[in-house]
Amino acid sequence: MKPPHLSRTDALGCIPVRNPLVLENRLDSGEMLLSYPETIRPWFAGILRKMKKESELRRLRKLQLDILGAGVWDLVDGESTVMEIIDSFAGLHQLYHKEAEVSVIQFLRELGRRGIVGMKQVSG
Amino acid sequence: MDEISDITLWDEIAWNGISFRKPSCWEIATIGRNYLMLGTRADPRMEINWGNPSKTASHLHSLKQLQATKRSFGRRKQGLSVDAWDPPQSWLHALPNHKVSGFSWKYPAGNALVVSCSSCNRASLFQFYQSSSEAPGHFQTIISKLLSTFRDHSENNCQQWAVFDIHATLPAALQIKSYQFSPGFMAMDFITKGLQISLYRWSPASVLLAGKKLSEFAGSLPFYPGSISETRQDADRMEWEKSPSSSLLKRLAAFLSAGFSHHRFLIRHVHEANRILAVRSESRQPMDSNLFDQIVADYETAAS
Repeated sequence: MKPPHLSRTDALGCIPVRNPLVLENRLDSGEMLLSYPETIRPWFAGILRKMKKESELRRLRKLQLDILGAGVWDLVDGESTVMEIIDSFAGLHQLYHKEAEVSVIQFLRELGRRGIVGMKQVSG
Repeated sequence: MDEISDITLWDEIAWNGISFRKPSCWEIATIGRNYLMLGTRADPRMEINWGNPSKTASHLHSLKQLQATKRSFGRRKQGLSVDAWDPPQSWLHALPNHKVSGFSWKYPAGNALVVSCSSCNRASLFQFYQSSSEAPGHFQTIISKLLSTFRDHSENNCQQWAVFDIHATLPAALQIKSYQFSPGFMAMDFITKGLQISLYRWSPASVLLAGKKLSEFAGSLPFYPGSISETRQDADRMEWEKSPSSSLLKRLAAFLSAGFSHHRFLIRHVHEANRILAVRSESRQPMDSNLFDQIVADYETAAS
């Protein structure tokens, strides 16, 4: 099914929510190591089940975030909207707003692609 | 106060020959060599395209430019009928030294102005997008104010550059060659005969310089020379210069070479803005030291 069309304002008003299966490990360097279950397409998961390789379905992948990425991850609290995260991130590092917007959106998109975060649409 | 009504804060934008003041909440959404699109967080608000100044242009030439613009506009927005449109008097009064023609289109409705300067003959095309929740009078006031600050040629021999949070003043002879605006890194290269100037800006400095000195950061740059003839530095500022060796043969080889043989670079940490700024010159002849220092002094960043 085609996802509903979101206006730019609606998209920026969405709330990123962490996948509860993601494990985080903060490193001494200030960086963050995330472990997350690999997203497997349903048809491929079916093949693995038939081949009795269910352990493959629970395989964890790792993603290391640099200091800036870890900072954005900390801001993903399940309550703040994308726009609020952008504003906080820009304020934290004195970034030009557009610069913060582009980097935060790219970062959240990448986390979404890996199934590390999902987006909750705020009604009204 | 929302973005539509908040027009108390204005700032300047200056890019490749044109400049004007705009509401601060209208940010650059797209930038091209002769094109800018500005918008709020929610919507696009205006676009501007402009041509080069013409020494020989006449009113007839301007009219032809206008017709060509209309034709190209009609092609871009297929199915639209483009009609002549009389801009508000306040918009015309804001541009006393320009020939102004307007046209409009429907579905979705929009207005555009073709503005031709009487002194430099540069033609510019403005398109404005009014928000549906905005009162027409309010929108017209914003546009009048914006147009009254529009400049399409410099009064002296200097050219202003002001995009995102960086501001620079350069000799008008320096033309933009290339540019890159990415999160964390911005660069603009300008060129004229025998001289290239590059402006760089990195952010956030607190992260880039974490556990590192500015000199170490500078040393990691791809154009850091292997051997430096002269270096001056303190904790927040570093400068180096590289020129051909004093050997007559090497100087002659450098003179005959098509490349730039004189290099100068100054990098500084702007604490209050959390940015790193740098100016780099490459030239065939040693660059005028006063000019380099002036470019460095005029190159600034405004912390948001």
